[in-house]
Amino acid sequence: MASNKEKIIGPKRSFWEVNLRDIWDYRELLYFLTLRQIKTKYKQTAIGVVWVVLQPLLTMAIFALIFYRVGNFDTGGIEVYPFLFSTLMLWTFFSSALNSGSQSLVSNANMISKIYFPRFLLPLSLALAGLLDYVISWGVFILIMIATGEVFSSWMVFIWVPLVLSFILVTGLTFLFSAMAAKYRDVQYIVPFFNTLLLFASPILYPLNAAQDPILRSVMTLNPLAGIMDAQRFFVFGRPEMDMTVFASSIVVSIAVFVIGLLYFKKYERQLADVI
Amino acid sequence: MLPAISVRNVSKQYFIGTGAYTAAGSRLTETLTNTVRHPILTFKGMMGAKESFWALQDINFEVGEGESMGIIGRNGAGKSTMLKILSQITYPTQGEVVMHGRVGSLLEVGTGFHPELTGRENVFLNGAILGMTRKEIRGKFDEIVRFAEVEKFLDTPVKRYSSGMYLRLAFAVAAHLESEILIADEVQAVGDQQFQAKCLGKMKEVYRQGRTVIFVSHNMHAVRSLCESAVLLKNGRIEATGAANDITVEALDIVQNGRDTNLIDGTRPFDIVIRFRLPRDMEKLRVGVYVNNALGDEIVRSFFSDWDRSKEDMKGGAHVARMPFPGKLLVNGAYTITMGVRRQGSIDLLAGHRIERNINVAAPTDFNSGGLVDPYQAAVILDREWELD
Repeated sequence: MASNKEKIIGPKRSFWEVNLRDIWDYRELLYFLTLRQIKTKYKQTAIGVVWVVLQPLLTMAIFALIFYRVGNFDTGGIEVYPFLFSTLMLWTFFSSALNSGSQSLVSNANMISKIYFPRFLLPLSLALAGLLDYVISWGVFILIMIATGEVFSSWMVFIWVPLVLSFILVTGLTFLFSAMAAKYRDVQYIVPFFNTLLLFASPILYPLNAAQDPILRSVMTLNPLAGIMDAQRFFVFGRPEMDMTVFASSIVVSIAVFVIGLLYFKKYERQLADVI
Repeated sequence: MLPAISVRNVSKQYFIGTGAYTAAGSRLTETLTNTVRHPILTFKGMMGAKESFWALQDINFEVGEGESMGIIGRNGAGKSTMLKILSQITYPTQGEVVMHGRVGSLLEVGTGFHPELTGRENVFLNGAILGMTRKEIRGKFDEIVRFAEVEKFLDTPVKRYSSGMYLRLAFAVAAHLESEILIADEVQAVGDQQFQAKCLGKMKEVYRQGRTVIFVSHNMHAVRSLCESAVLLKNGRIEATGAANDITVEALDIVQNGRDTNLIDGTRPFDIVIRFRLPRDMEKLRVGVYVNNALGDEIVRSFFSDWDRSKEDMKGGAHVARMPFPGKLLVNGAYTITMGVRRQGSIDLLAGHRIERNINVAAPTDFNSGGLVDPYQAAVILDREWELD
């Protein structure tokens, strides 16, 4: 039973040492944490998994009414319902992963102070669990497409790109926020506000080309979610034309956020049990 | 042979009053207002003049492969901090710990149990949290469930469990963890008496499997019955370590009716006979026995020098010590008689050699226990009678 694996527990670790082997060694724990999240999310609710699609559906209905009946937005000839739902379902994945992921360390404080495991598995498992909800809402989206007579474009082969980008962006943000929340509980009040801000500062309920004002334009370029949402809509419908500058910028910013989040998390990971 | 665990000059510092030690998360505004209101203090704080205390200082010890070691000390001595460092939850400020082998830690049973999940699901989840692979858990699943006695409720969410069932299942998962190094906190009193005995038995079994065990407790007795050596912590420093073996015990005999036996008639007295050899003349050496019942409770302790201090000093060479143990004292049941050897300034231990005898005591024949309908029993009975007008 002897194992030669040597483990050294010392005061310091290189700042740049990001232990990727941890993910592999603890892959089963990641699996079970993800499974726990999926299984418990809608336990003891009357309609259970229906909530997954009800949230974006209701948001869609409300904004279809306000923006496109009362207000007068231009969808570029796309039916309003699929226009809204295509981005809202990705947004639902993003925002719920952001909310729950940012709280993941604080709400599992008991586990953190009792047992060793790579801490980043907690926010990561929540983002992974959210993917299932996203896949389910695709079923509803296809029905909406059929019902409204819209057709999928041939760009659909790239539909995974916005999802991968949002995943990278949201895990980076949750690494950052969850580690900050461990020390500063303020984060739990900031995140929902930040969430609402992002919803309106990104072309989710309106097309990207509605933001022509130069200030708005620069917001769109800096906001990584803008390019992601624009791409999501373009890959589904093949129109309106994609803004490549904004898209390229969102790739760079998403990856940067991920790297910064991961490094910040790694820096504070070792203190978590002492401060949480 | 490489030691399984070596702790080298480990120290751990905590800062008092700053975020690093406050239990709940501090607020950003506190940090900001403190900076504004106490600029000098904050500046001092930044210059490293924070108020701090050392939870551990210069801790050094080694545990060989297959050995079991106890860490004892009173509340606040630094036991928990040591435990957290060994299980990699927190990190030392100075020094390092080197470990060889997979480490499993049982700091609190049931960590990660989710109330909404069923017993079956929680076994897998908790197992994974403790570091078991899915294959290992599947292999041990039936054993775990049988041990916890929850077969019927496997597919019920654990929030519907009684607290006893919950704890039994949690303990069962933890007890079946197979790692080369096991770090355990006190055996928590889990469930009813019957199950407690079962837990203790399981723990002893684990210790006999040749695994390296670190056991933390404030209970000297628990450490004595489970560990081969020990360190005593006081105010974050090592106060004493387990004694080296200065005594050779040749036999521990339990004699009744003129012969060595494990089956004791509770009506009559029996003799405890210890044959031992000392390498040289010794002073301040306290030798004796502890008698524990099946639940591990210490019923009596008796040392040579209990009533005569001069018996602490003994000449080198062979000795025989004999003590008549009274009849009509122990209730029926299984007992363990363990030898204890203590030198001043050390911890009571026969380093590496636990010497014990298991005996079964039959109830005194003329004792009126109240029968099976009255299962309540005290630890001992008295050979005395009441006078009644």
